[in-house]
Amino acid sequence: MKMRKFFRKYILPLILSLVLTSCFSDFEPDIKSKPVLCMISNIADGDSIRVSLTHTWRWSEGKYEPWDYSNWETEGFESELLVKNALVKLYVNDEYTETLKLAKRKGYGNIGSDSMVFRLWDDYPWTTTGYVYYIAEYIPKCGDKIRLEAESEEYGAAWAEVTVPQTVEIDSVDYTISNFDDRNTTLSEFYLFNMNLSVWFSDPGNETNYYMFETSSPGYFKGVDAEGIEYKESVYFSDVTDDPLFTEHVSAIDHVLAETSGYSLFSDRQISGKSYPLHVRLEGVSYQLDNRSAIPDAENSYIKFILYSISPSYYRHVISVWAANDGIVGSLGDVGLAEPVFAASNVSTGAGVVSASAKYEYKLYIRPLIDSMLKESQQ
Amino acid sequence: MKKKLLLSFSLALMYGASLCAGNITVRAVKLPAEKVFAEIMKQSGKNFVYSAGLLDNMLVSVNIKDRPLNEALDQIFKDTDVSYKIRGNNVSLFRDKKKSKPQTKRKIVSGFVRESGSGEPLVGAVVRGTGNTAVTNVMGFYSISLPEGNNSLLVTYPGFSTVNTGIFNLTANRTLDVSMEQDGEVLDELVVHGSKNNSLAMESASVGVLNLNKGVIASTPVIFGESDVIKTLQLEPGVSAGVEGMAGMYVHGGNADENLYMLDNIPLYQVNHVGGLFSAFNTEAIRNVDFYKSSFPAKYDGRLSSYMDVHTKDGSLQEHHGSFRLGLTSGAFNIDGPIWKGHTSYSVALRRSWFDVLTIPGCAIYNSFSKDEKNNLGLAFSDFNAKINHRFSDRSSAHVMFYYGQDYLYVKQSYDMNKSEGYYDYLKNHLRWGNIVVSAGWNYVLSPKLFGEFTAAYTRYMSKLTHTDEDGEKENGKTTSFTYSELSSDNNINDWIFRGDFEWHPHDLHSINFGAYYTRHSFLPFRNRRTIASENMHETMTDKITTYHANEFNIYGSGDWAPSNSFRLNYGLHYSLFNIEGRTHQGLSPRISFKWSPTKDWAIKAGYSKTVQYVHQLIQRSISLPTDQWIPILGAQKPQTADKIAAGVYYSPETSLTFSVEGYWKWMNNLLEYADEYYILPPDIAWNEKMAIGKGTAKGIDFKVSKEFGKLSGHVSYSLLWADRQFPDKNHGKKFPARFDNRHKINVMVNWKINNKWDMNVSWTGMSGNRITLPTQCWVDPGLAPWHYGMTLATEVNNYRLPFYHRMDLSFTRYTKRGYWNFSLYNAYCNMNTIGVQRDYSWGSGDIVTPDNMKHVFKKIKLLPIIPSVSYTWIF
Repeated sequence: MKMRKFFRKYILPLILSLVLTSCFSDFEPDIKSKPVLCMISNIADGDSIRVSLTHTWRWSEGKYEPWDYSNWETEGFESELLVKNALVKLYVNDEYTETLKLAKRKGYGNIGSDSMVFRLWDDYPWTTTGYVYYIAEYIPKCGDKIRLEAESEEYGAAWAEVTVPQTVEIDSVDYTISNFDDRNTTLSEFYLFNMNLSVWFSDPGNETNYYMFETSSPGYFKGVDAEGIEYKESVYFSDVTDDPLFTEHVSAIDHVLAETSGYSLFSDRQISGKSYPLHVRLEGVSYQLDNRSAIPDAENSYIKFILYSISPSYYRHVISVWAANDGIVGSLGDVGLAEPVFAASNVSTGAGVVSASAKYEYKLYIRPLIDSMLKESQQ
Repeated sequence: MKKKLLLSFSLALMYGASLCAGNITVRAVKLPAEKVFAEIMKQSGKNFVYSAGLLDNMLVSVNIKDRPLNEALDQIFKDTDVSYKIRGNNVSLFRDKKKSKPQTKRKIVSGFVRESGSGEPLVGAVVRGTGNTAVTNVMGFYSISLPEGNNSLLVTYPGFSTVNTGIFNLTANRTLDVSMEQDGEVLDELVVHGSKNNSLAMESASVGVLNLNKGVIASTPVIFGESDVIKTLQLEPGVSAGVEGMAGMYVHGGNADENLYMLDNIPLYQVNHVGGLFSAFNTEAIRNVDFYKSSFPAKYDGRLSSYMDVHTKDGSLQEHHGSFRLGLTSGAFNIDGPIWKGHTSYSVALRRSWFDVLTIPGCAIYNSFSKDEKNNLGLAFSDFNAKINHRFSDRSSAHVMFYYGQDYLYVKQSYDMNKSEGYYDYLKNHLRWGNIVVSAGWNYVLSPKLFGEFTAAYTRYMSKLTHTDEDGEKENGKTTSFTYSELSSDNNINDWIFRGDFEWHPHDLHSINFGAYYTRHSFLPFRNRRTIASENMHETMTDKITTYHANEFNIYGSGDWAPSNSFRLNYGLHYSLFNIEGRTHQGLSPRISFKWSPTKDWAIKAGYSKTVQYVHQLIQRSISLPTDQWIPILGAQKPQTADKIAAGVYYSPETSLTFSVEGYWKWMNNLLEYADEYYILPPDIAWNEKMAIGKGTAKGIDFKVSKEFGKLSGHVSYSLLWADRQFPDKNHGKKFPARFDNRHKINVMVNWKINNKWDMNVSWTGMSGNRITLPTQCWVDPGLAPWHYGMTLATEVNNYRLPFYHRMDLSFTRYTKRGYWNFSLYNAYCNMNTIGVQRDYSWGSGDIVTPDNMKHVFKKIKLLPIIPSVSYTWIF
């Protein structure tokens, strides 16, 4: 009995206090490091070249990024990371073209190329040049070899090179519709169905090509028909299942232990020089027209497929971000059980990405498709 | 036997006070000369000076009462070739050529030394005859040359009573098998003492050799009380454990895949369970383990850093016995005994974890709270060892060995709104990986001087991972629409091995080992199969990866030459050919080491070894996962090589205590590691495109003091290490420290036999922390992917050393009539060691994110607290 009391009074609390010791403790590692230039730009065919120039910072300094969301409402907010006194030069096809000028944009908004839309990032097509950036007068085109060089007294020099990829067209889109459900009412039209699509494109096969694929719908549309009848029309889908190519960077162990499905980027490693159908399954596709008496424009309602040709630097960076945040190596690296995954960069300092992209859009119009379905069902 | 010896010793060494200064009184009957001289030195006050080995194996008889020293010495050396001179306070002993008898013809005595009762061979037993010594090989075989006429053999083995065969008249070559009995009455499962390693340190020419018996492994305190040979070796100097709690082994600055683990001489690829938490070697199935970390016998090649040969139990030829153990994480059962008494034995050991016994009811309870959602999780490992041994005659025996070890993990999640209507989602993840080894061997004493072993074996490693996800809609119990995706990966290795190993004793002072083996390898690197399907679509994509076949041929020869007791030379050569994809690589691995003993208590050794490695394991993480595939060198890759020089000084003032200092310097070439940013390449791309080729060096010193038997035994060691790597495609081509460059490491291991009922084991490890790559700088997110604060800026590899690591483990063993209890405490004083560093946030008060209440910080991740465990082993 004495032993029990002793155990309860002294030993148990002691053991518990030891076992429940915190597993984490804050500290500052004794490693010297100094900031370097970070250069970011996504160059798109036919769009201005904008370059964001910042400097790196030590994690524990906790700096605000130029577009930090906690400062959205602060018009003209300028991050202390910005490097505004640098000399940024542009070389096109190995020839000096111009020195970029510093520009400033007020207010929040998308200021870059919308070719950088990322499928999983469905709220805003963010670009990263922020509010203060360097801009060139030259408008790049596909095939241009762009070289950017920057120099700052405080943070040294940085350079990067990228070639604007050629646009690769979507040749055709084949589809089948299943589970077509007519839920019309006397006032409105509402259809629900699933689609299996084959989005055909041909890889040029001349060199390693990288792609990003996106499926989207315009969502809600408000219009007036030729007879002046107002209507609202919408197209949505609830789920997308993509081609196995999109998961080529995801290993089985990533699926199993990290539970990630990957990003919709792929290389032509397995389809080089071939015509290939990207398999897309859309579930819960809905089309709604609120006013049956209106005759909407056939081109209002569509599902858009965008095939981006992206530069290797774009692909490498996104895959590295995926590996760092979703992959098993990155997940284990976070807890010290694997080497850390670094964000891939093609900038000489290791900080930033100078990428390039070109896009091709294909719209599959939904209203004509529904009309033909209805016609078939009536026959 | 033990009692008899004690009695004779006590009677023999009676002495009284000397009546006159210088006179002595001593009586001995056939006692080792050294013991008698120790007594004479004590009484006479004289120092005895003689060369090492002079008195080896000499049994002396003397009966002197209060007589001068010279009379005692005359009597002792009467019928020997030893003479003496007394000069002042020193007595010199030397071999007197005048007294030497003319050379007589010699004959060979050969046979097996086995454990009495079980008939298990005793490896490394020392057989001493007149002027010659032999050591039993892995099958317990010895061969010794003796002069014609009357002879006797004295056989010693750690933990066993010394056996004197008695006098026999040797007129022709003959066989003589020896049975030895365990010393003491301790349960045979737990004999911890022994001086095999003392013998290896003082007598062999090898540097950095260790022999572990099952008792030592079983008594080493480890996490969850799960005794483990690799975790026992982690306490050796020069061996780093890697990440805390894991059964990793990084020897002398090497990598994890540079150790060759063998089960009865057959390589095993998958050597651990549960991500490396436990090794694949079930202690219950082990007889003993040979471990080489500096000087490698020519027989072994194929890895750069170390060789570990686990010898499994043969099983008793006389009676059945076994044990059943139940611990916190697993249960183990083993039994062995005769199938045909005196001829055929079996040994079976089974171990299985029972985590899933906990997870199944745990999931059932969790699932009972949700009608729609079900989760199931299972994790288990098991291994099974079986061996049948048959003796055809005194010269011939054969065995069949089987090993099967596997891990599996499954996660099943299902969401079903209604069993027959509506939405459903089924997710299944399944991982299974493991190893199979089957081998058959035949041992034959071809002649008294020649022993041969022929082996055929098959070893298979396989891992398969499957992920399936199906969701869809049901109506009236029928699926109306669905989407199905599957990703499966499989990787396997199949090896067929045929080998012949021979041991030849052409001369008294010279033994030769030689042999050859052929291995047919088939490697299937990870092959992925991706499928998507729906009600009217089915697409499958399989990687274009094929099986690689390789042929490996090895031939070796080595000699062990001991021209005198003070000098021994071991030399050898291993030649290998590796053919893959039309390319043939070859490797020549010379080995040489020597020992010189200036006096009996001291040994000085040095050696050089070259090793060649053709297969390596791709390891991305510090924990073992089924994706750590073994692959061969391919294309322009060259075999990995290591050149190592090692030297050591050993001092053993008494047989139970050994001091050693061993230094080494290792140069490694064509090392393969993942290149920078390898993770950007798809997982199914050819592995050689992801690798960087480089070099490395390791150098260091290992100090060790060990006491191998007695009431208090154990060892204290300190090791000093520098290890680095350099790859043109890594770290900008700059040299960087190896991950497990643990500069200082101290190990203390103490076994205290408190009494017949209790044993206590304490181990303490303290070492410089592992090195990690810690990026400190970050850059802004370019917004090409989902946003993350602070992109990581690449930094130098292994630029940060984790804090000093230290931990103490304790275990107590309580013996009962039927078995024993083991109580252990891992990390007894709960020093949670840092295993990594994380970039994280530190939150202040309040919900609003402001710079004031959210700080960006580096956090040390500390893993394992104190972990108590208990197990019971029932012996029958």
